[in-house]
Amino acid sequence: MGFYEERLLPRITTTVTAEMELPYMKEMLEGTLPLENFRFQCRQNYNYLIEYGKAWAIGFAKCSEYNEMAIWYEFVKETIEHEIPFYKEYWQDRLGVSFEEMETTIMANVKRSYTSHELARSWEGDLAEQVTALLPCDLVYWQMGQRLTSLCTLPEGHLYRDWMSFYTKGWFVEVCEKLIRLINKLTEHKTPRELAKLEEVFAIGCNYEYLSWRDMYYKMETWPLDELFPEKFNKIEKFRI
Amino acid sequence: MGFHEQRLMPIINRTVDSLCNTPHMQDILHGTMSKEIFQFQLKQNFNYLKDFCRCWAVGLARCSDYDELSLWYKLFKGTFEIEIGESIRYWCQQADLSFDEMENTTMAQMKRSYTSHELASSFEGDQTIQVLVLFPCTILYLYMGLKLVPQCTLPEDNMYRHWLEFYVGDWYTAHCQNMIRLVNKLTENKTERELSRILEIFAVSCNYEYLQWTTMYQNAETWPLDDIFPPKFTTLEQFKI
Repeated sequence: MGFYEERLLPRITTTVTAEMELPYMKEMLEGTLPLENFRFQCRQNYNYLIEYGKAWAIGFAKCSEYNEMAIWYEFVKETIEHEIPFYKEYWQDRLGVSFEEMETTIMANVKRSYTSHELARSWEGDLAEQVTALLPCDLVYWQMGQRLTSLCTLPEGHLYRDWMSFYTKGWFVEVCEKLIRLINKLTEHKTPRELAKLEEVFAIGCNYEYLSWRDMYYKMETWPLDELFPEKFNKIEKFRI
Repeated sequence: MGFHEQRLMPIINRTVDSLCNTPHMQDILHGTMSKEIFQFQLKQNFNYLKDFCRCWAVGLARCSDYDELSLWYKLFKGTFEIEIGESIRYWCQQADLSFDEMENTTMAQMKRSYTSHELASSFEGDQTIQVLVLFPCTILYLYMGLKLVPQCTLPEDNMYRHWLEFYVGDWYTAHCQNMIRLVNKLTENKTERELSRILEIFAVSCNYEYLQWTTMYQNAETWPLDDIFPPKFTTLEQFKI
């Protein structure tokens, strides 16, 4: 029994149980969720993943030996070579959202709050804190994917069913299992005070996950004063060398 | 004509001339270096490359869109998989070193000074500074290789010849050309004041390069009070999950 089993898993279960009650999840299970919401979700999540990958790179920059570096390297690589292209290529094709549209989306309030939390904890904390800030994203999705898939009666090949089952597939499960071993290892010798701080960081992440589904995705909520934003900088000029 | 051609080339040429004439470099060129000294160089350089790679991760964490992210990722990946990877796969074996011997080396004073400069500049500066602080390490070796390989009369399978030839190989040349384009792009719209700061950081790195070849490698110099260091932490416990 490690930190994950004792302290994190109960929080994940509470979060996912609450998420399962949300109209967004119910509509997704029934297949009645408007496609516009799902497109919004994918565009936002694509931008989220870029920040998530950067937070792993900060962790890499804090490694102090090769064995650590090799583990963190895999997480950076997994995000940039696997998860981001999945959104860029797979969802782009299935949803008819162009790369341009994904890339020039302004991150919504809840997503920006969530990734700022992840990046701030990653810059200011140690490796345990950096990993803990990112953990809810993987572990909450894992349990959510399992519970949604088991309840799903949509036919094979249905867009929403494919999305749910993505988080129950072999490679994603392996990533989650590796993360669990990693966080248990990193917390082995922490004091109760340090563990409480990590649990707070984790609870914040879980809450952002819940808020994403309850408000942001469901209401396609961006910012109260949306009109203040300029044109996205990468629309003005592409970074090319 | 960009910043590289106009402002950096004179500094690079001046440094490369000095580097090529150091006794240590001449010993490599003529294959007259003792194995112990070469082992010292490889062990120190392995530890240098880990910090160098962490600087790329800091740069990666500063990216603001996918185009930037994919570019920094390519440079980060090349460092980890090719440069660090070759140190472990090829050079360990060539010089009769074990991975543990490389990993358990305490970084010498000159290397520590150099990588602290690289990491501190990467943390405090923008992406331009992060790239320029690392640029000497990359570009000096290309020009040094181009100058020395034609003079090398060692047999094809000589290990010192292989060491020199790596820096004129296809992968390394493409890697350098990529970086030259990046340096020119990043410095395009900087003010003279900003360029001057960048040139200072660049000159500091060039000097560290020169110092390691004149004193550190040649004399296998570590620290004046070497005996106050504890055993390397990696010898106490392996990081395994």
